[in-house]
Amino acid sequence: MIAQCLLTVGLLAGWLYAFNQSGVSKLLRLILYITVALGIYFVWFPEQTTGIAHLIGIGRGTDLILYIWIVLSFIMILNLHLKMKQLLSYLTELIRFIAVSHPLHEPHDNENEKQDLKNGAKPEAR
Amino acid sequence: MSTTPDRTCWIVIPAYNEGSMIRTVVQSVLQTFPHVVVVDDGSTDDTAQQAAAAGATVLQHLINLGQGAALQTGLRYALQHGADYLVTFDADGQHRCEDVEKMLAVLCEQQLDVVLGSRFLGEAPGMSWSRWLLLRLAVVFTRLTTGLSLTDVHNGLRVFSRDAARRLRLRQNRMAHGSEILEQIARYQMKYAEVGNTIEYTDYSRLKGQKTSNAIRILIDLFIGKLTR
Repeated sequence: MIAQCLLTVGLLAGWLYAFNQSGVSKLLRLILYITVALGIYFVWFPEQTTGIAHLIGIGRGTDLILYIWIVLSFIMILNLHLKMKQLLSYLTELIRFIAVSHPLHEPHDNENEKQDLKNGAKPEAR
Repeated sequence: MSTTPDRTCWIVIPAYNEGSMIRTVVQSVLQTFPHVVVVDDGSTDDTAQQAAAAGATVLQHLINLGQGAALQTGLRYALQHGADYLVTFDADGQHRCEDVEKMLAVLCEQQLDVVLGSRFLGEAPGMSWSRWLLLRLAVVFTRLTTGLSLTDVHNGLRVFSRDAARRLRLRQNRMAHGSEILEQIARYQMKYAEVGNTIEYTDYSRLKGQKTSNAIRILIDLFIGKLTR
C-alpha cells in the first residue's frame, strides 16, 4: 500500500508538470495525461497488466511494463539528444557570428597592433 | 595559373592548441599567400597570439566547437572579404604551399569547383599501416555513400572556388565534416578533381592528428546528422 501511494503521488506530480508546460503541444499533453492515468490504474490493479501482456504474447505484466519503459526511455534519450544537437547548432551560429564580426586580429588594418604582438602583447578583441 | 600568388586566394587554417606550431605554419604560408585566416577554436594555449604575431587574420571561437565549425567560420570570413579561391589547410605543418599552388592551377585551368588533395596520388612519408588501412576503408565507404570515385578522403588540403565555398554548409562541427564536404560535392554535382599532395607525418602531427579510433565517432556523427537533417 505504501509503494502504491508513493507511485500515485509521483505520477500525479508528473501530471502537474505536464499541465504546467506551456510549450507542449496538445497531442503530447494528451499522451502524457493518458500515460499518467494508465500508470495510476496499473499501480492499483497490477494484475490487469498480465491480461494485456498475454494478449500480445508476453508472459508477465511486469515484463510488459519493463519493455514499455525501455522503449519510452530510448525515445526520450533520443529526443533529448536531438534537442541538444539543435541547441549546439544555435550556439555554433552565435559563436561564429561573434568570431567573424569581431576578429581578434586583422593585419591589414592595424600594423601597429601587429608590431605590438611581435613584442609579446596579447591581442584584444575588438 | 602560375605560381604567382593570387591576391584573392584565402588560406583557412582551423587551429586548436597549436601554439607551438602555428607561427611557423602561418609564416610559411604567408610567403606565398598574403591572405591567411586562422580560426582559433577555443584554444587554451597561446595559439591566437602566435598566429596574430605571425601576421595572420585571427578569428576566435569563444569555446571549442570542433574543426568543422572552425572551417565554416573561416570560409564565411574569407567569403565576406572577397575571396575568389578558398583553401583549407591544416595547422599541424602537414601540408605544403607548393601543393596548394598546383591545386589552384588545376582548379583554374579546368574551371573546377573543387580540387581535393590526395596523399595516395602524392606522398605520405611516415604513414602507419593502420592509418593506411583506415583511409582505404574510408574511400570505399565514401564510394558507397556518395558515389564519388576518390583515392583519398579526409585529406585536409582542399581548394574551393568561391561559388563552391558559398554552397557549402558544414553542420558537422567535429571531424565528420570531411565526409560531409564530400557528400555536398556529390549532392550539388560540383566539378572536382584530385591532385597528389604530400602529407608529412611527424611525431607532432601524429600527436595532434586524428586517432584511428575516431572513425567510429565519425560514423556515429554522420548517422545522427542524417537523423537531424
